[in-house]
Amino acid sequence: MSDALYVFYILPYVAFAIFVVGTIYRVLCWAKSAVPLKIPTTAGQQPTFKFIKRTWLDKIDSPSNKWWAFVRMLFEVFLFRSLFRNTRYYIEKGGKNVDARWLWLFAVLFHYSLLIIVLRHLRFFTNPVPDFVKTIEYLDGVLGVAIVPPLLMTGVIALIALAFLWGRRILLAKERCISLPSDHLILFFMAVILVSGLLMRYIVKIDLTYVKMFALSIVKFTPPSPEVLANLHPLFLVHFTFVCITIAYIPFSKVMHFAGIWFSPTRNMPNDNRMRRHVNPWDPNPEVPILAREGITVAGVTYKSKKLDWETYYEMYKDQLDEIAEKNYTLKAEEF
Amino acid sequence: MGVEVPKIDFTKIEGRSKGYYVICLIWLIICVIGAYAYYLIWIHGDQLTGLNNQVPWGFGIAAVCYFIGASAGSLIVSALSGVFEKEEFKIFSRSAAFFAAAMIVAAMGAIFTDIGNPENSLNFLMHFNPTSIFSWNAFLYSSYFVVCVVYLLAQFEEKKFLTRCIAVFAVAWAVLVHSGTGGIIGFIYSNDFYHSPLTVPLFIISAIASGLGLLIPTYILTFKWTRREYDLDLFWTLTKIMGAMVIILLYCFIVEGFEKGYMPSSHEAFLRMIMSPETPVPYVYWFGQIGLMLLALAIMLSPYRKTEKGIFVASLLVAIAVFCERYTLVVPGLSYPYEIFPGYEVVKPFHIVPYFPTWEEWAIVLGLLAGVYLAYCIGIKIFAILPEKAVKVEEVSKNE
Repeated sequence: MSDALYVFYILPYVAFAIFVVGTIYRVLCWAKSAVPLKIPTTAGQQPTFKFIKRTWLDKIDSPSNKWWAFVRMLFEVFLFRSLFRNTRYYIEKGGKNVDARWLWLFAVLFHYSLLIIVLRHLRFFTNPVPDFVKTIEYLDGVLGVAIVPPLLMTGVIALIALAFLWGRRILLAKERCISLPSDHLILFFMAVILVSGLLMRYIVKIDLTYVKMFALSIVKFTPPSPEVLANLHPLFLVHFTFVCITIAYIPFSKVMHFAGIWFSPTRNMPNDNRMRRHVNPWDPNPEVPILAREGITVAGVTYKSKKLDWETYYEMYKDQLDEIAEKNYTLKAEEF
Repeated sequence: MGVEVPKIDFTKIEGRSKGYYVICLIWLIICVIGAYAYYLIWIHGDQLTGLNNQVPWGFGIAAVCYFIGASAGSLIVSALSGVFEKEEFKIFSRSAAFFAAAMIVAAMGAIFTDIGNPENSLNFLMHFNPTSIFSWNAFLYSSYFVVCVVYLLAQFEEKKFLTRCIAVFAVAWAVLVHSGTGGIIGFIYSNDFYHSPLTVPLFIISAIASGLGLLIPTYILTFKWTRREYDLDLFWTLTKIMGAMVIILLYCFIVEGFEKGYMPSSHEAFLRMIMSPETPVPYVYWFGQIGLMLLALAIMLSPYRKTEKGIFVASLLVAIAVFCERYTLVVPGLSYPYEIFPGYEVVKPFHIVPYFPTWEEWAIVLGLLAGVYLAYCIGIKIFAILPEKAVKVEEVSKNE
């Protein structure tokens, strides 16, 4: 037994510190960034047309005040509304839309399974275990009582959903094309955490007493005894290390969408263009329009004009526009 | 605009042809056979290997040295652009770093399979010994993998300055890690057959040679089969680096051979090692290590040196020769008797404990190598690590 194992006791604090500082930094960056334009994407009508009857669904779709924008945000966060409505993502060659809402289904399943899994893990960090955690675990395992310990549904669902979400990035040509290494990395972390967790519960069956003692020592800020550390199963250490790495990696990754979603301008703005003037924070009260003052720089040449007319625009993008003109101004969707 | 360094397009391969799947399948099958061999050893114990009481380090440990070497060599190739500002080799920076990461995983896999029970690999933490080079290497290898991954990520994010910093750090780390591995063997002062300060630099040199020896054929085949444009001159430059390494290696072998043959403590063992055909070692030494290197050198100096086939075969020969070198480094030190107490008469007859690797050991090592190439095949499909065309940068800028 050596003191080197105390690395695992320090690890979660380091990871959590990185997570908190990183998240605050990124949220502050987003909060500070200017929103120059009013761009709430809606499909509905504004209430200015009094003769159009608006149901509550229309109000969510086209929120005219901050309250309805907030409601729309809740739908977005809890039900992934945009993802559900995004049926035009895959367009077949014949121009027919392909229903890709299975992505929404697996995304929802994955996120809610993870939520329940995280809640279930409270049983390691609390003593005595609160009743709601016990209830969640009971309900989770009510379908899988045939084996001991009961097969928890969320674990299985999360694994299947993860397989789909990762398979989508590897097997679908279009997704594979646009997937970045960081997308794979976070899925890899999730896969390691899930698989090691499931192995520990169903196959290897490690000694949870020491795990709980270790977890409690972390939340109580009291270093665990060497005996506890020496008896932690290697598989648990793998699970635990990857959880810490993932937590520390979150601020640098796309997982920050849990905070970023609140800052997406197309989602969090009420559609009140005609009622309220949206002031561009970059240029709040211009005497001369910014276009005439500073102009637009394209390929090293700055163009200044009071209003962007066709001649100026053509001059700016001559090459590209000529290229389009050669094809008789027909634009085709790329084939995949 | 864009006069200094033209942007290199890294793209994923299509990977939908029959050939691609066949190659993946072949690697997978070799992997599965390796896994099965490991399973057999797991069930029946080390008796299935050729290892015995006196020779506990065999094929597997030679493979560890080889994989770590190839990893360090790949990383140095990857860093040619980042550290040494050889911009024409920037096209290889991503794939070589990917190789380095895959190779270090294979090296760790070779250690795990050699340990028998992978759980024991945690003992370096459970019983941490700060004066043991094995304890240090556990940290060095795992941190080296993390460095490789972070280096790759920095490249993917196209953060230039960060990539540069990490590249410098990664090369230093690769040299350190590899010196650590060389140190394991070279610093065993009680065994004169192992003990040699030359081992550590020799490890680095053969690392570069084996890294290039594996990378060049891989790249040639990859670019050929993905029908991407490539410039043989680039590979020829790499081959020249490899040739220089081979010459230094041969020189070092001569120095070391004379030194070991001259030292009273290892004189007899060394002569037996290169002369008596009781174990496969003399064949491996003369044909594998020396012979293949000389052959590769002959090809690299022959009129065929600038042809694709010449470069391909020479690199492959060097890759195999370096493995033989690792083998003759690890095994004879244990297989041939040495003086445990120099200056004292040991009442023990001089006899050789032969070691023949069994098919299980072959299968595990080949399975690990196949695993690296399987990872490479999948990697080039899901990550953008291959350049659109591997031509010299100046030519790209001229064309544009």
